[in-house]
This record gives sequence, C-alpha cells and structure tokens, in this order.
Amino acid sequence: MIEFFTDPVLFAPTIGSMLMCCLAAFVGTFAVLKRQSLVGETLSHACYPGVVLALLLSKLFFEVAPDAFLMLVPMIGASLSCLLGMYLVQILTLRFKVTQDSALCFVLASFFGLALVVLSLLQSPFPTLYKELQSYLFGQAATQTNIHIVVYAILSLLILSTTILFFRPIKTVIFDPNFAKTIGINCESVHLLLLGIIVSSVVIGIRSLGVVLMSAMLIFPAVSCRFWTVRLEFLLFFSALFGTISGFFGVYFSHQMSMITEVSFPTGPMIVVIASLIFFLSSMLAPQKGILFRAIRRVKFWSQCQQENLLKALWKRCSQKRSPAISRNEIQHLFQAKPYKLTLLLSAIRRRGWIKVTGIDTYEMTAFGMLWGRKILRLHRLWEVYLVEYCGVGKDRVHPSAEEMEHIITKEIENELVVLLDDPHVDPHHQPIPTGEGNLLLP
Amino acid sequence: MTQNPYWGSDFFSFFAILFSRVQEFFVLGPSQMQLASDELQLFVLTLISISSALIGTFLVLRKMAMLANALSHTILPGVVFAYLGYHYFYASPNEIDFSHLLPSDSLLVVAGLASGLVTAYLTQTLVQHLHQAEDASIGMVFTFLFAIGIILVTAFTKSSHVGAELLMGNVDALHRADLSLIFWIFVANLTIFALLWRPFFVSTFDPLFSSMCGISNAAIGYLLMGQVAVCAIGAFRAVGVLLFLAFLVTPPLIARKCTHNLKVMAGFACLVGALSSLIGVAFSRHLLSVYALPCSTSGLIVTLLAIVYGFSLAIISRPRA
Repeated sequence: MIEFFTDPVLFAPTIGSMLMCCLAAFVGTFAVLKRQSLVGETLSHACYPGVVLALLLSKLFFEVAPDAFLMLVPMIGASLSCLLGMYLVQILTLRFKVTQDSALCFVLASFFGLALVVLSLLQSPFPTLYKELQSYLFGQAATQTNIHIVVYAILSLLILSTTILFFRPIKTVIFDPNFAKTIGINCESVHLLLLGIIVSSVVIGIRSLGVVLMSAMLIFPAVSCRFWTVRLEFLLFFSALFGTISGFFGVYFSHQMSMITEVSFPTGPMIVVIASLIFFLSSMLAPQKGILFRAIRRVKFWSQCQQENLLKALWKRCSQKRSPAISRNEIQHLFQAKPYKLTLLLSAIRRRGWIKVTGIDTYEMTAFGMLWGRKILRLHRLWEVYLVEYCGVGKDRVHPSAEEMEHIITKEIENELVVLLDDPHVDPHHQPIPTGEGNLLLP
Repeated sequence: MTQNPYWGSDFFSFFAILFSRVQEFFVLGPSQMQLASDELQLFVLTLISISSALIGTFLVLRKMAMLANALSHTILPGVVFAYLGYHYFYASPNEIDFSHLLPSDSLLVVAGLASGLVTAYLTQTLVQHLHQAEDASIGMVFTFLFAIGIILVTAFTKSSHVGAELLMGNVDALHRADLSLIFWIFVANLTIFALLWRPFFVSTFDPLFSSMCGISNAAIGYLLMGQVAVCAIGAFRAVGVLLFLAFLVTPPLIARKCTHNLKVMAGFACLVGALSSLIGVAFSRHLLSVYALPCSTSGLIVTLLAIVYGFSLAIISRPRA
C-alpha cells in the first residue's frame, strides 16, 4: 500500500484523487447543510459539455502547448459551462417560477444531451479524444501528473483559505439566514461565494470521480460526519478526512481491480463505494446517533421499564399485606411473564438493591426498594392527575400514557407537577397518591 | 434486409420518403413492407417520448423530477443483476455477452420495477430511520447503486465501454425486437392514465382532498415511480438513462408554459415529444447524408427540446396563474 505514495507512476494519481475527494467532501458539507445536495448532481453534469468543447478546441488549436496549460483548458471549459448551467437554473426558478427540481433536471439532461451531440460528432474524426472524453464519465485517475497535483493543491489552498477567512459569515448564513440579514451580512454574496467554491471543487473533481458520480462525494462524507459531530468546524475537518480516505482507497481498489481484470477500471464508482461504506459504518457505530448505540440505549430503557414495572407490582402487593416478604409463586402470579424473563428481572432488581433473596424462591423488599416503588407509583398517579386536570384527557384514557411517563419523569418535573397541581393526595381514580417523602439514596 | 430507403436523403426528402412509405403501407398492406432502421428509430423514439411526456407531466407538477433522476440511474444495477442472474441460472457463465442485451423483456421489466422499489425503500429508510434530509438520501442511494452497477458491468464485461453505452444510449443499435417492449410499455402507460386520470389529477393538485376521497397519495406516487422505472427500462437502450430525463421533463415544461389545463398540457407535451422525435430522426439522417456526420439522434432531440423550451420562455411571457 505504501508504494502508492512512493511509486512515480502511482504517486500523482493517488495524491491527486485524495486532494480532489478531500476538497469535494469539505465543500460538500456546505451543500448538505444548505439542503441543496442535489445541486451538485446538476453542476457536475453541466460541466460535461464544457469539458468536451474545451478538449476539442485544445486538440484543434493547441497541439503543442505546455502541460500545465493543456490541463487547465478542460477545467476552464468545465467551470464556464458549470456556471452557465447554474445561472440557467437560477433564471428558471427565480424569473420563470419553475420548481427547483424540474429546473435542475432540465439543465442536467439538456447539457448532457448537448455534450453527447458534440461527442458523437467527434467519434470518427478523433477516436483517441473520444475515448479520453468517455473516461470523464466515470472518472479516470491514472493519467494525472505532478503538474495536476500542484494545480489541485493551489486551488485547495485557495478554497480552504477563503473558507477560513469568511467562516463566520458563511456559518451564520447557513444556520440562521434571518439573523445574518439583520446583522448586515450580505447573504447574496455569501451564497455566491459558496456556489463558487462548490463549482470549483466539482470542476476539479470530475477528473477522478467522473461527471456521473461526482455528486456522491459532495454528499456522502458530509452526511457520514453528521453522525459523529454537530460542530461545523469538526464537521468540515472530518468530512475532508473521510473524503481523503475514500479517495485513497478508491484509487487503491480500482488499481487492484485493474490488475486482476486487466481492464482499466474507473475510479469514480470505487471511490463512491468506499464512501458509502464509511457512511454505513458511521450510521452503525457513531456513539450518539449510530443505530447500534441507539438500539442498545433502547434495550436498556426497555429493561429499566420492565424492572420498574415489576417493582411497582411488588410494592403494591407488599404494602397491601404490610410485609416485605414475598415468594416466587406470588410474584409469578402478580407479574405475568415467562419464568426465564422473571428470573432475569428479579436478578436485575436484586442487583439494584431493590429486593434481597431470603431463601429458596423467597424474596424480601428492601427499604430502598419500597421507596423506589412508591416513587414510581407516585409519579404515575401525579401524571394521571395532570393529564385529567390540565390536558382534559378522559379519566379512563390516562393510564397508558402514565405507564410510560412514570419511567421518564425526573425529580425536577415531579417538583413542578407538585407545585402546579397543588400537591394532590388522590388520583383521578380515587386512589391515594403516596407522599414524596423519604430518602431515595441507597441505604 | 433490403436497402434502407432513407439512405442519402436530406431533411425534406426524409419526410417525402416517409410519406410515400406510409402510402405504400396502406396500399400494399403490412406483409409487403420491411421496417427500415430509420422508421424503427422513429417508432421507438416517438413511443418513448409520448410515454415519458405523459409521466413527466405529473412528475413536474408533483415536484418529483429529481426522484426520477435517481430512478433512471438505479435501473442500471437492476439490469446488471437480472442479466447476471439469468446467465447464472440458465446459461453458461463463461459466455457473458452484453452485445445483445438481456434475454427477455419481462425479466427486464421486473428488474426495473425491483430496482425502483429498492431505491424507494432505501431512500425511505434513510429518511425515516437515520433522519437524513430527503435530497441527501436520494443523492446517496442512487449514486451508491449506480456505482455498484458500473463496477459489476466493468468487471463482468471486461470493458469500461458498456457502462458509457448504457448512460448515453445508442439508437442505431436497436433491433426490431426492441419495438415490442417499448410498444407494450406505451400501451400500459396509456391504459394507466386513461383509467386513473381522475385520481392522478386530484392527488396532484389537492392531496388533502384526494386522501379524503380515499385515494392514497402514496400509492399514486409509487405507481408513478414504477412507471418511470419501467419506462426507463424501455428507453435506456435507445436514449440512455440521462437523456431519458430530458424526455421526461422538457416537453411538460414547454407545455406548462402554454396552458393551465392539465389535459391540454399532457396532450401538448405528447405532441411536442413526438414532433421533436420525428424532427430529430430526420435531422440526424440529414446530417449523415449531407455532411457525413454521424450524430447521436437522442442527443439531437434533447438539444432540440432545450432550444424549443428556450424559445417558449422567450416568446410566451404570459404570467402564470
């Protein structure tokens, strides 16, 4: 793997692709946050006629020109047609009141159609050019040289420094456009700046990613990062990092596949697959929003609810017969659950110190357990009073909601309820509400 | 096959020959006639453009155009999986040959519907369970599926050219057999719209009222998506998945400029689509005969449509209601 950075042939494509993906991912964060993820799709397709025409022109007129100039030509063409496409979308939506999705779709397809007309005309007179242009569809990293890297690096630095320079206005405009307007930020120019940044990253990126899949690189890393962090600075940094990683492994795997299949493998799809893999892993493993941890939290909460329900049933029974001792049979009778589940629950609440084992299949509620059980019943009945008195819910319909809320209400909410309801002593079903006194700390 | 009668004809003589051929058809009867390749292209493109103009009318009005973009991309993995599956079960895997694409039309249609369903399902999952924005979800799902499709195609055909072909379409590579699939798709679309015109109409303009009438907006949306997917299956060989989008969106946009009446709009969109197909085929033949320039017919049609739309925007300045 290290030879991708040392080998003179592989070095330039690898670094070039990594730079491109880094840039696209960095910039894509803004597009995603502005809820304009699909603009990138149109932009990248709108580049294509520009690339086709520019390469044709350079083929016709600048046969012998320095490398740096030759590589800038398609980029200039791409940015021009990209800007034209975006301008058309703006005109269509603002002046002619076409809905944005139709305008995007129209520009995308029309520009691509135009490019295909020119491309089909080129096919027989310039077969090599035709092949080169076709590689722009799905991306081809292989033919990049050191000059490409220099140009990409300069552009990346430019974009990065622009973003840092205007970070505050950009942030304000993205998250709170109204506030930005009131403090005198020119929203229009910030939007134009962002558009310019996105266009330049797309123009650079189509080389490795291809016009068809370019938009993926704007979206995937940014969305993956949102699982990990909510701060814009970190979002930008990690997005760029994820982009760079997908860029490297995209080139790596497409190189390996090319070795195996002996076909020149497009880099774009590989990079996209890697990026979506990162997205998948992020959506699973992120600590706050990841599916895995969310599922764990859900199971934990569910089991806590079950434990507290059991405790509540025990408390009711024990306070009825005024004795803390209770047998397994009695519990089984009280709490309809499968025996193995009951065993698990009992051992769980024993570990919490709510009950203790006194013999074979006999248990005794601890003082702490009694307090906790009373607290849950109190919350349940308080909530029922609140629903009936303040929300106008019928008496017979408050129970299910209270069954859930009794596990959620905190001490603070309880206090507020007490103040609001003037410390009631009976619930809507004329059951007494236990007092809130007593120490809930572990004995 | 006999000599193509359109060989060497320019733009106007194309229509003259077409006219005389139609006359001949009525005089001699179908058994005496051979379908020339230009006529085949004409039929295919006209049928595609009418189907897609009808679907596109509702797509544009329901603001679902970018979803159609996603669907038209994701039929690629569908087609690839169908093809690989077919070869795995019915033929020897060594003889994978994409030159005559896909064995049976029904398999293709099923593949298209399935990929549409998968796209819709994945997008829904991302939106509902992972709390992603809808546009980002669409963008992620279709690029991912499309990338998988491209990788598979490149790996199994050992050529990066086939993927490009799918994207760009090749109207010259059409066979007589392709016509039947496209014809049946056309008939199915017409039938669906004829039977369900009112539900479509109501659910597009007043979703609340339509759900009160017992018309499920979601069901209509899914039906429309299914139609897009199947129509894309019919169209991708002729026009390619990206240009198919222009067939979907541009004629309705032109028609929308001219009228406020849905029926008139749909009819006008069909007319624009069909006419531009006719002119596109004739013009492509003209370029080939007079300037010896082989030109992508579908690309020409799309460019033509864009130009017409530009003119319609410039000329018709009536404020929209």
